[in-house]
Amino acid sequence: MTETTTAETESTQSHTDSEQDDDILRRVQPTTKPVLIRLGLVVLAAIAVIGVLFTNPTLLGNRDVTNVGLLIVQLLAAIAIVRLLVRLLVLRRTEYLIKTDAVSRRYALFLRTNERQVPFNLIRSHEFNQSRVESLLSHGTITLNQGLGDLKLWNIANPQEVYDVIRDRAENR
Amino acid sequence: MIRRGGAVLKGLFDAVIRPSKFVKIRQATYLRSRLGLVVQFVKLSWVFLTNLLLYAVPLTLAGVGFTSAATAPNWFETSAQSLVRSPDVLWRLLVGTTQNSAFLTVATGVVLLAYHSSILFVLSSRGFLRSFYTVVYATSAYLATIFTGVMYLSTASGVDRAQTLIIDVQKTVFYAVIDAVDADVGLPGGRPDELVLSGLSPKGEFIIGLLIVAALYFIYSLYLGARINHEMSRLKGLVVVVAIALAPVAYIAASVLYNTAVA
Repeated sequence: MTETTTAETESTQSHTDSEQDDDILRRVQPTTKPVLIRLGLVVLAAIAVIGVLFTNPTLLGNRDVTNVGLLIVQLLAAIAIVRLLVRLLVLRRTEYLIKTDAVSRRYALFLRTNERQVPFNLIRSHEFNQSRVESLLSHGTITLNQGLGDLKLWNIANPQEVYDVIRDRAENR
Repeated sequence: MIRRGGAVLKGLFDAVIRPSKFVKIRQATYLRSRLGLVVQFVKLSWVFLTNLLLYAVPLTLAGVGFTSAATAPNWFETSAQSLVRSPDVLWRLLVGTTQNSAFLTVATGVVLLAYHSSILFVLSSRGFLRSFYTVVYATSAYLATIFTGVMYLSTASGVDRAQTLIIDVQKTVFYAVIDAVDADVGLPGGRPDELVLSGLSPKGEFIIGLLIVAALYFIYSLYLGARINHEMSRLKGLVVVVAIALAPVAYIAASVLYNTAVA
């Protein structure tokens, strides 16, 4: 991969500009399904492990060690659940814009708007990845300028179609 | 001030909820020029120093490492007299803070050495500064939490069993290495009896649980740093994790062999 300076812009500001609809080729809303599935799996796994430890207080040798184990599982499960809920919230408020001259990711949360944009003429690499869960659901993630302050477009439905648009415009610049 | 408070809160949030974002190097493009590298190195050193003080000063003010008998040397007394009423107290505070910072600084150095060496070993280095960045952030948050927890155990009441358990675990690891290299050395207090895992108070259980979670976070953040900042595969990332886990063993073995050679 060739490394070159990427003039990405990241702004956290009150969003007041009106997007010119003519400039927008695609407006993509990420799907929340993979996150919801992960959240469900984490909750189920946490309930199962906590239940087993509660009903078998000497499972890890003695009651004290099991209590420590229980505490660790509860803490990690709580952190994982909060993490996935935050991700869910951000995804729900995110949109990806493929414009005539740039790709941008924008989300608005708690009265703040965050926008990150890469102009097509500064795209140095583009990748399309699907995890196992994403593969099953026909969703995917597109990464632009990996390792150069990358821009990730997570959880896109019909990802190949969106990727083709980005790749064509990036390579024909 | 509010902006800085917000940044600290965001850092805490990332450290707990999004460790991948916490250790991911920002402004990677700056690492392409020599001047950029120097600027980043200075910035990272400043971050480390600030976090070190945030860790060590409260510990010192809480009385850990604060030696009440020490008196300031003449040169310090002369220069500090115009600034403070009691140079001795300031001297004790400085000495205590330095002592409390020393262990974390040495531990950071050992981790950085082991971390970057293992990254070089698997031929995946994308620059020392990326390792430095990962280690500075990982130690500032998670290793400092572990040290604070251990310090708390050594001073708080009602956690005697937990304190003994932590000391005995460390001694057991030391003696496992001593036995492995067949060295004729020992620790003050001798070999511990069998580890006693019962009789912990709820507070002791809580602290031990937190210490284990912080240790897991520490290892995981170094793994994430290897994967994200050095763009490594999962397998290579695991090799780095194993190297970090073995670093204390190598450090103990080196100390034991050094002491045996000196004796």
